[in-house]
Amino acid sequence: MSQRQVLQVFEQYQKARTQFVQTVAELATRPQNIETLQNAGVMSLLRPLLLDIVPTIQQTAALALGRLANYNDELAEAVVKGDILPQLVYSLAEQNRFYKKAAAFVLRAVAKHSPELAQAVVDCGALDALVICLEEFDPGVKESAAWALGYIARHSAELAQSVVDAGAVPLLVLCVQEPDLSLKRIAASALSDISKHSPELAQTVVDAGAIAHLAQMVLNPDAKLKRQVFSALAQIAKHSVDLAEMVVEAEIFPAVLTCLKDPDEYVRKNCATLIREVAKHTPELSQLIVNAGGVAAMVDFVGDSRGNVRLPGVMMLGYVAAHSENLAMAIIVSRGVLGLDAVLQTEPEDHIQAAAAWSLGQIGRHSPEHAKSVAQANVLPKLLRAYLRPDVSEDLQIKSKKALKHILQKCVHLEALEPLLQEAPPNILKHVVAQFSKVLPHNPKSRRLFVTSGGLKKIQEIRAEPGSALAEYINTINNCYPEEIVKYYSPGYSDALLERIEHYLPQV
Amino acid sequence: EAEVHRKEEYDAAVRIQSWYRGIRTRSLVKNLNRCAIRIQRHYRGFMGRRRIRAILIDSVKRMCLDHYNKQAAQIQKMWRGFYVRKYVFDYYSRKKYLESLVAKNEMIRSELAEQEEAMRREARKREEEETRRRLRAWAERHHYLVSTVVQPSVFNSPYRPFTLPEETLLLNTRPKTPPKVASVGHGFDPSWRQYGQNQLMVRLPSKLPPLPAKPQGPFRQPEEVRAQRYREFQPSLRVATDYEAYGHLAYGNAHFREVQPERHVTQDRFRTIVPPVPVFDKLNAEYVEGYVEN
Repeated sequence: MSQRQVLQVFEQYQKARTQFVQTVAELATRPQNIETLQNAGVMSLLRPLLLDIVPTIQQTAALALGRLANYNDELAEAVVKGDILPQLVYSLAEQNRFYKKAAAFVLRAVAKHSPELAQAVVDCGALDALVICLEEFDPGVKESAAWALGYIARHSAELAQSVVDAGAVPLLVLCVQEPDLSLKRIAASALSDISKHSPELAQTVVDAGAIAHLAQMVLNPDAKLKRQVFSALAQIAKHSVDLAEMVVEAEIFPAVLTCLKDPDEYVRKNCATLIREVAKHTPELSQLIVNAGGVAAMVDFVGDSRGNVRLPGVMMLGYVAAHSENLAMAIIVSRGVLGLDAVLQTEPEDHIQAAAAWSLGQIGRHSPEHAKSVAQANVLPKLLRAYLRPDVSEDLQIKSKKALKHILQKCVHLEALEPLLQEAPPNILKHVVAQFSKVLPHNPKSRRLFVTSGGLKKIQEIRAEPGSALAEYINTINNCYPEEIVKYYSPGYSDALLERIEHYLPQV
Repeated sequence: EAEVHRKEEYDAAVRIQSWYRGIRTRSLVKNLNRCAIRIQRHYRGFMGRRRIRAILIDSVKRMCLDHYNKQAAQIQKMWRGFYVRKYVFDYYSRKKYLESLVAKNEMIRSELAEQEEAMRREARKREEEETRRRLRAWAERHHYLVSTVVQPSVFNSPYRPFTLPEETLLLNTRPKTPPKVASVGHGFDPSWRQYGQNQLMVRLPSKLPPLPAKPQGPFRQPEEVRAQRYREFQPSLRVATDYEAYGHLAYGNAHFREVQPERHVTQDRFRTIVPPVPVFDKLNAEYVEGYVEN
């Protein structure tokens, strides 16, 4: 055979390999093909192609592997079991940028499914190689490496700690400053995933100077970038007062309030999460937010959004109100009670209703003024209904009961309490009656109103064990009225009167 | 008889004397008692007055202390009220704070509404720009759908009472010709010289002429051959120089290589270390002898 024909055989083989690997990569983009590919044993075929001489075949094989591993975790486990990872990690250090991108894609696809797979990726020594990739010039390579690191750090605190120990954080902060938009997004998301686990990790991220750069990007027009930036800042601020103060010192307020009106709903949600995490630590931070007009913005946000998006907003109002009574008054004055009332009424989900009930309880528990504002918004019957409905979750029941208790213990606005007399179960009723017994002895006008509205009748119908607190309250109330009126309203009085007729001897 | 009377007189005398003695002792004792009582009386008064004085001092002290306590309590009362009203809970400043908070909230609400409006306007503008761009791109590519005099197009159908807006869009946009696909090019003609063409623009033709059955020996790399074949014309300096001008100077006039001996510092040549080399003298001559007028 001549030399040319021998070379031709090799050329044909190379063409065949290229075609195979390109077709597999293309097929792997569609989910319905992947089952078939898996059954055909594509993993064992792709593995030797990773070691091919021709660089394009290597890159396309890596890309195909990445797409397969991305699809589900069985394939990702097959990648791990097939001992492919060490080879990928080794060649990450050596090859050109297309291969690095593809290899980082495979690592990311494997690490995203579960903590064990991510641990397997880390055990192959991928972290050092990925960190070296972060120092490259090409933004695509940096993006893939940062994405892989983010997915690894997402699962648990130990994995995040190992990512930090590999020295990734300063490089990620440098990536955040790059002009390339997608790189910024991925780097911000990776920082968010690292700092969410523990205060030490968040402190490490802050020590690398991340807050200043993240704060600069708050007013960027790109929506996805803003999502990640707000998420990162929220994860940093949530751990401790010092971190929250550092986030606030970066002068994000009041610019952040603008983003509460962003068209993209996840930007709004993450923004509200950030404000909530800052507000929950101390009264001073909440005061800062209130003075910047944050409560008005948040109430509008709660009114405009629907569903899970407004949960952080509702919780923020509760946290602010819990700190002190003038903050609670500030919320009342900013029409916060109406907003929360709307949430309680219109939301179908239990956990959001529970959050709204909790927040209302925090607002109303400080003083009679607060309780009056809350009661006047007609909130108490709704809370009662939420407590009594048979199909609600336990969380909602407990929270609405506690909120009712807190508000009732301070409420002296009797018109709002009267509807509760009709429907309340005994444990709530005793608080209601306690409040009546506190107010009625001192106020003649309210006594009259109480009688005319049928309240006294209701009281008489309550059966209480003698010696319990409820009986004492009923006694106190009965003592406010002359005996005839009490007897008139007590049940069975008409029968008693009729019995007197029977014993009466007419004087002729 | 005198003996009897002696006893009676003796008894009487004794009686008188005892009475007198009694009187005297009694008066003495009385006097003594009186003195003692007097002394005791004075002493008791003294002690009593001393005690009263101590009690008086005590009570005066207590009265003073009560007075000071009351005054101090008054001061503290006033101070506590002032302090609480000013620093702990100032009702009026709280009221003012809540009112200013309401005002601030309104301001923030209106500002945020403005910014939201601006953002929406921008988003809408971007959307509109995007749709306009897409329509323009479509119209540029589909100019052939425009109707002619003879044949009305789909958008200008005679069965419809009005023309569709696509027709006007097609008429108004300037059509974009599709990008020219590079032609296959001439066959590989080794005898064809192409002067002045940048070798990067010349493409290698996709099909080379068929090789004869017998290979003709080791071939050089096609790139090398092409580089040699399409090498740029590298003329000598004499040929490349323009006849008429020399850069910005007009060629061959008084300014070209002119010599101004009156501006020389001295007429002597530079002194050399080495003896003069005749070849250099030749080079010092004018480009064409006698061409330039001295």
